[in-house]
Amino acid sequence: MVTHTRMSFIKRCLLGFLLLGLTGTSAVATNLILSKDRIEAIGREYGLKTEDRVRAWQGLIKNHQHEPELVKLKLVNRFFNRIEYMHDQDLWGKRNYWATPLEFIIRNGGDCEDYALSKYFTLRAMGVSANKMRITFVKSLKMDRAHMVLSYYETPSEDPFVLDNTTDMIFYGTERPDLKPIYSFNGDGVWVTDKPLSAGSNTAMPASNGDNRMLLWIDLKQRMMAQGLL
Amino acid sequence: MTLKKQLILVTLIIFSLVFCGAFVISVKNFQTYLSEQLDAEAQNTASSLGATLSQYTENNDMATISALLDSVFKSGNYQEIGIVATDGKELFNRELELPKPRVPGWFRDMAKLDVTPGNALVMAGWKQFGEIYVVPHIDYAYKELWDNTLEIFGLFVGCLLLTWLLGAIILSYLLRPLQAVKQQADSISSRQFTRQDKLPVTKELRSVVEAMNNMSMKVEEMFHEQASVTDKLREQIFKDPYTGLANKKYFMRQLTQLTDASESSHLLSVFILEFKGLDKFKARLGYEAGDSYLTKVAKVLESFILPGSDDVACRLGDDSFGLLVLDKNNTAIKGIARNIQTKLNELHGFLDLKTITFNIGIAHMLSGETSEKVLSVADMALRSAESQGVNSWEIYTAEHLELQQIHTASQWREIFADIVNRQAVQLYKQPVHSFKNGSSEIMHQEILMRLYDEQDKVMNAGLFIPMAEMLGVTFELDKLVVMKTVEYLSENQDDSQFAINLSADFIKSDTCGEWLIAYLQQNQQVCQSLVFEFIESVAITMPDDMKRLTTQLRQLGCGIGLDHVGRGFTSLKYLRQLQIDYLKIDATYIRDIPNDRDNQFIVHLLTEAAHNFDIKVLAVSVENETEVTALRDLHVNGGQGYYFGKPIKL
Repeated sequence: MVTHTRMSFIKRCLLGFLLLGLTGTSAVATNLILSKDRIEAIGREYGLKTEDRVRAWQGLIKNHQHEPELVKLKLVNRFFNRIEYMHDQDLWGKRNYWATPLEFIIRNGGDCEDYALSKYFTLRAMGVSANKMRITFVKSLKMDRAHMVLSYYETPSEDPFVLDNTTDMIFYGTERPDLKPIYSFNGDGVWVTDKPLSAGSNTAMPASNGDNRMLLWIDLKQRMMAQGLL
Repeated sequence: MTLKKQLILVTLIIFSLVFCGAFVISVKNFQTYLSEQLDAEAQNTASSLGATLSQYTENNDMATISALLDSVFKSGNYQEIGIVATDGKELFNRELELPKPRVPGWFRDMAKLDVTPGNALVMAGWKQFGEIYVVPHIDYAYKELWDNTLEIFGLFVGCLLLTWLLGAIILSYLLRPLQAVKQQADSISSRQFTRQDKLPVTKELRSVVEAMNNMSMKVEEMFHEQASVTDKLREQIFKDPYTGLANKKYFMRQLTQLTDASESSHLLSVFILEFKGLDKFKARLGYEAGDSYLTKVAKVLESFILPGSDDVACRLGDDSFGLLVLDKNNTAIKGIARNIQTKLNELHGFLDLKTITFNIGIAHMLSGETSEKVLSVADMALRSAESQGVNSWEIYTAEHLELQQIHTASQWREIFADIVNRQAVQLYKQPVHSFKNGSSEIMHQEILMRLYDEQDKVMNAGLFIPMAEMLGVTFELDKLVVMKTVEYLSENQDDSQFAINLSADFIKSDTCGEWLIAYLQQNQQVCQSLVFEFIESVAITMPDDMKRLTTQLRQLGCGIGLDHVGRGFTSLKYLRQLQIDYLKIDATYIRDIPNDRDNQFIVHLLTEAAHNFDIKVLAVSVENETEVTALRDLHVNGGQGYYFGKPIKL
């Protein structure tokens, strides 16, 4: 890091004039509730079916705020698992793309990461604490490939419930011998940091699938802000 | 402070302000950047450690976990590394003892780095093992920030020095024309008129330089003009204005140079030409005709001067001319004399002049005698020529010198004694007319006198007056005039006022003044009819004596006038002290008064000043109607001259 700075120092000095004041603090809370106009606009743009899906999602969030958390998990898991599994390459033209919940619902398609993340954000919006949820990279022994699921911890040291897009059933982690947990991370841990990493930070982070997870997060976060979801 | 210094200072101040701004922004920016980097680094490390350690948690392999964490911690990049279990129990912790900060405390306070520890989960299969936290080593970052700040500051100081240096050089170049302008101004004050041919690029400086060049040129022209005016003045000082010949002053200078001061020996020939009957001629035909005649005479004399030689022709006086010829032998000089005689006769014949006669006296001698002696020899020769008859000439040499001196002085003394004795004075009167429109009022009559020699011939006033003054007998003549006038007034019924000219002797000498007062007291009945005229110079040089006498004269009822006013053109402050009835302006200021603006101006000034004191101003030598009109327009009160009437016998 230290060696990097010296080299790019002059450039940064110049950039500093332009960028000064452009980086602000980000909103921490997710705001997935869309306005009526916004939903209608989506309908006009993507068709009634899409609008219905969005309305259903909005209803899911709004109408189940006071259900027990296990009910919320079930509803959310089922809601998103109806979306068609598609590869990022086919859908977005990119090898790896983390869609926002809205993109995921509008497109009505995505890969395992999109399921996990959309479930995570939706549950957050429904009042589930971020501390109880972890996004977990796993290896699917059945499919023999990297996979991502959402884990729910009722207590921090217990075995979590696993929300997997391959099944509407919710099992404990230990009940899923077909999945080998690799690593988990706390979405809000990154979100909540008071100094969100700016686009200039080219820090590389090792991820299970070799992608730059941090950059994917940043990209996702920026898109969520742009779509008014943050 | 010089302009250059001020400009450089302003440049440096502006530069400093700009750079300070850039400096602060850069440091702030770098500070933010560093914070972000630290956070990212910490988060990065926490994440990768979390992922790695998760592999060893299922067997609770704390030994491996500790070894892994230690190896990362030992790199020294982190302030603190630790793991907290999900139940809050600390499983591992390493904290670096803070080394002595390598950066000053004030700097740390000013550019505070805000750091968030990186943290990540450590998993044990599906279960959460704990959380790892990594606190970055902030001291490195401060050092980095400090070094960079110093670097920027160094850059700033370097740029400042460079700016100063370049500014000084560029300004020196740009302001060079100012230096040149200063030198130009200096050289103008030492009367050297330089031009800057290379005009500066800067617009303002260019116009300054152009203005300087212009000024230099104009001043040079002015100097030339002044010089030529001075030359002209010098010429005027040594030139007779009417004939264009040299004047007596110049002639005397030349002569003196040749006689007294010359080391080389020359054969000098000095001609003196004296004309008689010019007065009558002028009386008959006016001054202008007289001048025209004299100009012709001057031409004749000039024809005998070799161009480029030291020979000089000049006008010595009203009626006389001089000619100085160098290094010609006796025969040649006689030839010249004969030629002059012939030419003048021809001129007279051509003009049909019988009234004007001339005589030529020539001194022919080696240089070495004084100029006075040379002149007196010439004068002797002239007298001799006179005795030979009209239009004749005589040449004398050094041998005649001794004789001459005794001759003239004693002769003149005898002549004056004889005149006073015989009272051989004839009084004339000339009227002074008022200029008032439609009035022919005679203000007074001026008394003039003529003297008669033994043969009862009228003597030339130009001849006897200087001689009388030289011999100190003027007052005798004046007394004679006073007595004759009083005698006339007592015997005749004449209502006119008569103005009598009195010489300075009456002011200078108490006896003269006392005589006059005493005489007038005896003849009080005529005093009202008398005005006494003094020349202006007396009033200027002896104001107190003048005041004493004039006061007495006024008490007796006599008037007082001043003649030849303005000749010296000195202060008129005597007007305040003396009680004077009128001033007569000197004839030189009346000449060509309708056209000569200078004379108009001077007459105007004199008139204004005199009228302020209720003193009348009179003109002399008034010759025609246009002159009267011009003088009237200048508020001159009256005048005398041939236009109004020539002198007639009393």
